[in-house]
Amino acid sequence: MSTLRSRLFPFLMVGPYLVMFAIFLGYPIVRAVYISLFDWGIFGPNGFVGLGNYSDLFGDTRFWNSFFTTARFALIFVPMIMVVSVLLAVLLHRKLPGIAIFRTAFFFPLVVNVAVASIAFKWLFEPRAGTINQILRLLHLPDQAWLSEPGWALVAIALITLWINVGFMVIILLAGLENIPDDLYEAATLDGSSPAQSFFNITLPLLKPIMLIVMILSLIQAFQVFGEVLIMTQGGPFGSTEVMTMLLYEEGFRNFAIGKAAAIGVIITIIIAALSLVQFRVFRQR
Amino acid sequence: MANMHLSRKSRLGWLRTAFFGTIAATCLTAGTASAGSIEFWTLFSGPDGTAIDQLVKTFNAGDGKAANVEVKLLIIPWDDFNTKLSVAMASRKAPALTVVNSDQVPVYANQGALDPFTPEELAAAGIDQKDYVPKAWDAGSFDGKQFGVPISIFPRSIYYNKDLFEKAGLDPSKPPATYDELMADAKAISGLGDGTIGLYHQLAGSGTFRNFYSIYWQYEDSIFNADMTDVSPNFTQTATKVLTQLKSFADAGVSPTKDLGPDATKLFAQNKIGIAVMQITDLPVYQAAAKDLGLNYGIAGFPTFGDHPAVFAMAHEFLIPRGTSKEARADALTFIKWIGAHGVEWAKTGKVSPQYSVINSDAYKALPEQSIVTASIETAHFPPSIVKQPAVDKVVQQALEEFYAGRTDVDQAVAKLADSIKGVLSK
Repeated sequence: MSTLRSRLFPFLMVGPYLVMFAIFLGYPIVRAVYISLFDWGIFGPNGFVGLGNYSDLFGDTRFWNSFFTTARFALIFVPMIMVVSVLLAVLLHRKLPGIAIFRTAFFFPLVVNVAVASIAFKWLFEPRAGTINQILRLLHLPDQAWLSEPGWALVAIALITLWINVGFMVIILLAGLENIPDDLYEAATLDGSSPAQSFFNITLPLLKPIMLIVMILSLIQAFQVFGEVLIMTQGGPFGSTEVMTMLLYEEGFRNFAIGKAAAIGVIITIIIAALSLVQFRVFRQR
Repeated sequence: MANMHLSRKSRLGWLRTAFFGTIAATCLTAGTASAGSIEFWTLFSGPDGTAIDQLVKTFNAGDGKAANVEVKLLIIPWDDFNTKLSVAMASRKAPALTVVNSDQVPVYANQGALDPFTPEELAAAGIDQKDYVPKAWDAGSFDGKQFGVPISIFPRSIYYNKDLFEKAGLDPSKPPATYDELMADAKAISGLGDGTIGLYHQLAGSGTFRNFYSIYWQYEDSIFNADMTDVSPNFTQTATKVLTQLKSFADAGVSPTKDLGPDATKLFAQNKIGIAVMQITDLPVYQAAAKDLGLNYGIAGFPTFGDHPAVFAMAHEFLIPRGTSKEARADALTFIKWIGAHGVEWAKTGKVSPQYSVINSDAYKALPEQSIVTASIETAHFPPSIVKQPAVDKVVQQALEEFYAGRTDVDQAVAKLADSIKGVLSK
């Protein structure tokens, strides 16, 4: 009896989570797959179309544009947040008086609502009166039309997404840094290793598993970015920031093609799952 | 204490009654707030929001009270309006009455989200189709059924700075009426120097396609072919003319090469822009600038670039979402009729009235700007009532923004316009 109890105990512990997962993630995913197989309007299904929504999307240049825009965004955002969060984590890992204040300061943007942050950044990026261009002017650098130039708009959105999320990544990396034994650094120092050598030969290799988590999370964030785009550029200029989630929104809430929107959601989910799997495999092999 | 003496069975009975009563009440109140009370969702915000709020209050306090109708207004910002309305419709929580831009009527109607107005109920409410400008009335119809009743029309028009006209040696009582006059006036005003902009027309946003359509329709009545499956056979030729004309202002140095965004109205108010292509709905901003900053402006109809006058216009249309009860529909129509009768008050917020009874009234004729722009409704051209029109507008806007940003030349932009429009129509 006690053996049975001890076997059941772990399931009881994870049970509540699994129930919540099934209600708030499992069911919506299954439902989205179901809806994606229909011509679904405001009031529900108008007819079964099988994989029609998917074939429509694969034949639509707008879908492919949004796919490549999302990929471009991920290519800008993921390396950016990886570098910045690792550097910040290493700096904040030092045992200095008052360091907790800095840790809090970097974490703070995460509690700011995306809409609020996006509106604030929209003002900062404003070409005439915006603070960022005013700083550029002080430095005798040319103004930039941050949100109306296709080249800059995606970078601007990556910057705000970075600002919001970097604190969370830093906290995860700090936990990883805590687990690296100090002995290794002391031994390296005794052997004449410079701080840079210690960073590249001790910190980075031992932080790799945590960096994998950070990379996957960042990649997921990149494929899910939405609020910043909706508020700052609405997918413009010229559709250059129309990421997949923005297209999903347009199809679902502007064109009322809910089935097609669900199909986009399913494709995003598959992409994220596939990328995560590949990354896990690559890191495991190493 | 009395409850304590109730038996378990009767307590359960009470609970059951309360439960099902609540459910029933919830169902009954969808679309109506209470008996004789209707919810009205509007996209009018800013000065329009203040005006409609005041009109609703006046109605509720007077004629509404007498008719036992109370309107509960909810103002939803324009950006979120269609999202919120569609979600409310999907969850069967739509208001009894709403207002949308006329291009959205086919989109909602095609989804089965609206119940059409019947001739009988319109007649019972005293709403007469003959009193309405036909183009505005037709903009509320789809598939042979009437889903919308227009509350206002907003055509494109030009605002011009009379002080700058005088400084440039131009006659402030003679605004430009043709492409050549527009170019000549813009050149003269730009010649004043000190960063003065001769002409401003939007290079980003919805103004791009509205201006493009205005000029296009001056050459040809439709950008689509007869069966709406492709662009018109003359599209390339006509669109090339239009884009060449629009580009000529920037090429001549009289128009900015980058969009001014919200700064445009500020610059106009600061006597930095001579002529601005906008629409009648911008009027309250210029009226406020005239009052507060001494701006001396005039308004005129959209100049003729092509073979005949034409100007893009849309209407705001009252709609009644599907599932609204018969009583609530009657209440909504009472309010629609009342707003129509108070059309002068609504027009003061920068609208052209769609009703002849209002347009021909002395009070309306006394509104100088509205009267000038109303003259152009004879040549007003509404986009066709098709489901795909908003999607077409979006791709046209995108292609024009690219063109104005210098990423495509005239030929490339025309080709992109044709391909994009065809792409939308073929879906």
